[in-house]
Amino acid sequence: MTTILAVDGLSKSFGGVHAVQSVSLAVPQGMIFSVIGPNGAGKTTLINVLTGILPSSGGTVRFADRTITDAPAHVIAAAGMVRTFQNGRLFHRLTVIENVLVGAHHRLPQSVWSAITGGVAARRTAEIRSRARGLLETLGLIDDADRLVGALPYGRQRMVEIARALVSEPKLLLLDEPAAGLNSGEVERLREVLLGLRRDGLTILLVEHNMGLVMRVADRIAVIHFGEKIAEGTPAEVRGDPKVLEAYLGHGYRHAGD
Amino acid sequence: MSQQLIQLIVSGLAVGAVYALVGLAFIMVNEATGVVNFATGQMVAIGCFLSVTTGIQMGLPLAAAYPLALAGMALFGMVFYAVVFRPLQDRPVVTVIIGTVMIGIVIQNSALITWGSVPFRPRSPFGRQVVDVFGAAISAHALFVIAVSFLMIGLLYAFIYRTTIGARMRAVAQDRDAARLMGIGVDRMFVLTWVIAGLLTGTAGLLVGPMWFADVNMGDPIALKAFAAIIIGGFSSVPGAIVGGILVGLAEMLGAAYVSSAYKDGLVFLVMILFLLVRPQGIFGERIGQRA
Amino acid sequence: MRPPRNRLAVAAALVAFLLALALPAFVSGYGIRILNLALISAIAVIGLNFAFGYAGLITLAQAGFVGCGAYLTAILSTTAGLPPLLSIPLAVVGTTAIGAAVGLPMLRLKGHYLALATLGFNVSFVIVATNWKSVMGGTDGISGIPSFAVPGFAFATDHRYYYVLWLALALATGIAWRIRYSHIGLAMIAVRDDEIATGAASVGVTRIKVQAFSLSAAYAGLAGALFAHMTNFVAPDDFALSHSIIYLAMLIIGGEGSILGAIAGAVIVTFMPELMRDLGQAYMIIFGSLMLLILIFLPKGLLSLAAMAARRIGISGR
Repeated sequence: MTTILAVDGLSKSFGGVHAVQSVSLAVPQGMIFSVIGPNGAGKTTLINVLTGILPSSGGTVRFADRTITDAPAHVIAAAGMVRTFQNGRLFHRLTVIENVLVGAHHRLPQSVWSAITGGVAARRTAEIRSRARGLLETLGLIDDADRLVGALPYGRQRMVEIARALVSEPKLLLLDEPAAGLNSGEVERLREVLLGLRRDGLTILLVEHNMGLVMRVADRIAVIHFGEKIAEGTPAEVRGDPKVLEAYLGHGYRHAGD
Repeated sequence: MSQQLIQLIVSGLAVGAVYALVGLAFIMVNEATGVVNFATGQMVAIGCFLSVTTGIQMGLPLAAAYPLALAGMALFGMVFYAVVFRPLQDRPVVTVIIGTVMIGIVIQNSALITWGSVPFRPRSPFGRQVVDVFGAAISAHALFVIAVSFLMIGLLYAFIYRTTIGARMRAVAQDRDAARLMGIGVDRMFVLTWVIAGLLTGTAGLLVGPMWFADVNMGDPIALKAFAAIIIGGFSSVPGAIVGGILVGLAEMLGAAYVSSAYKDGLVFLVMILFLLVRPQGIFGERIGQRA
Repeated sequence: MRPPRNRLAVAAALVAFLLALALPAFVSGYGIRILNLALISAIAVIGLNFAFGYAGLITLAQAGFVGCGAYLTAILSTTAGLPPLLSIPLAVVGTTAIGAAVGLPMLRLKGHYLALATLGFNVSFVIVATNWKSVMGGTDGISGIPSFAVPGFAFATDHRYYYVLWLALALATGIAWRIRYSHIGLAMIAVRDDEIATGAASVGVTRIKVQAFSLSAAYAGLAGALFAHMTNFVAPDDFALSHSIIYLAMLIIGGEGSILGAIAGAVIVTFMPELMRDLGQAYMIIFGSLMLLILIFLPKGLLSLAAMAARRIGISGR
């Protein structure tokens, strides 16, 4: 199986604090690869460095056979690695469908002139719009398409973010705690969506806190603790790893095991 | 050193000290309350005109006229706090910018109605007296300006760093919510900040009057130079405002004499823009150029 | 992304269009001059809406760019002897280029840093215009700028020129409308709402900011060029920093982020001093206070008031 995302020795420190320490990951194509870890383990920092939001302090990132270490965020997105944010970051002055369309910006001509004259830009916008509507249909958001995004309940806003990430037809979808703040019904819906996307061949890097979700959808799991990778394997392997249990349960576990 | 050079340096220092006072007023307010006050220049004009009223129109001796004008400026700071700061507090940056500009227009035109459009020439406590410095004839007023400005700056330093009230003000500037939790009366510190801004701009107004004229349009040019000064020195830095002010004052005087009197102001703003682009934190500031 | 369609709005626009065509017949010489100034300001403020209303860039340089357009067309049509029909588009192109060149380095700055940098540009423009006597005429400015004309017809009176301005405003509005509902307009709005998420959504943030800033300069250039051919004379005072602030105030008072708001604000603020003329010296005090009250109590501008009223009587737009 080919590796689509190869992270080698990636580090990030803030002053003297090492938020991510020499983490290496190989994400195989077509899998749901999950990164888990206790609060403050450095998962979000890792994602921010991967997607060009923060500069790295060392190491390399290769994506789809290109080195993209410290490339600007929009270049990484255009290369096919697209992300969502932990607490949801949407454009509140835009409608749901407009939010989704922003995700396909790099697929359109970049000049102001093209926007004025129409032509190619107009034709391609129409295609993208119909794909966006299709996505909203799939994600159960079509009735909200023309509402301002802020008017939607939180769970639906998270889905809008996923739609915005998917509209550009990425190769890899990076989700930062997509289940945070969702109720159990919404988590179930999210699980179906994720499995459906994998069925269609999309690779997903899932950073998540909700163990129930991760254990049921992930093909492979990496565990981060204090900025370092302490374990990697299938859900079953990770679940049985004493280091992982210790990271999550702290010293209490060790004493119980002694 | 030639006589002319010494004269230019002294007058540059005097003008620069005034810019430093105005820049400090701007920084004090911005640091403590987060408000970018575009009416700072008009406060200088009001300070100058209050000294016109007390010193010329009421005919008081300057020893009484100056303190009375400064008391008026302290009061003006309080009114500014109540009428302008309270309603604009915590609004978006642009609202504060436009809002304070509009207040500036109101102040300027109120001054126009009160004092008229004919400029006054306030007298200096030293009249036209001239002092010999290294063989150069220097106006005594310029030396007075430098001395008073540095006295004010020294008092401000002592107040901020040596008194408990100053420590409380610094706490409010650093973290308003934490200061409130510690039981500091945040609103009272805000009033005090505006009073200090009134005193600093008022002093600047008293001092520039005899150098230039008391004119209702005098505020904006002074404020623009003070902006340039604090950007060059460092937007949130007290020593930065002082050094920036003096650099701008010197550049203005020396630039006018040796480069081009027409482009002396252009030179200052060119340097300001260069600083913004290359070193937005200024000479003394921390890396804050990206701070919104 | 698709513009909201509403029959009532279309009908209202049509009525407004016809009224606007007939308007000069009812307005005296001085009134038409003020009206023309309002139309010119409206173009500059629609431009400002790209930079500030959409992309959130606080710029205090708009009057400087209006000045660039005015001086460029003035120089091209006097010294170089070009007809206005040529010099105006050239002035717009030139101002756009200046806008891009100024914006590219400055747009890394945010908030009041950007405000002060653009303020520096505007002040510098006035200093250069005041002192570069050989090209820009110094404080005397440039006079003898020809009135707008097409082959066979001169728009030499304010009443005739009104139609030129009106057409220019209609065109400027139409283009702004197209951009707003294109991917470029969406990206501008997104940048102000959340810059990081916009970058992560594949939008080149710097590029979009420079585009918004250059567009606002282009509109300013057009406004300035049209102004020069109306007054036949340009001088530095018309492009001072205080005018930049007035343009921003127009946008905020009309309703930032809205093309209609930009036009409404330009018209209202242009006519406000005329309506308060009887107040004499006190009128600037009333004007400033009124602006401050609108800022405090109607932060979304006067248009939000109209929208509220419309909702009340049940003709919502969307």
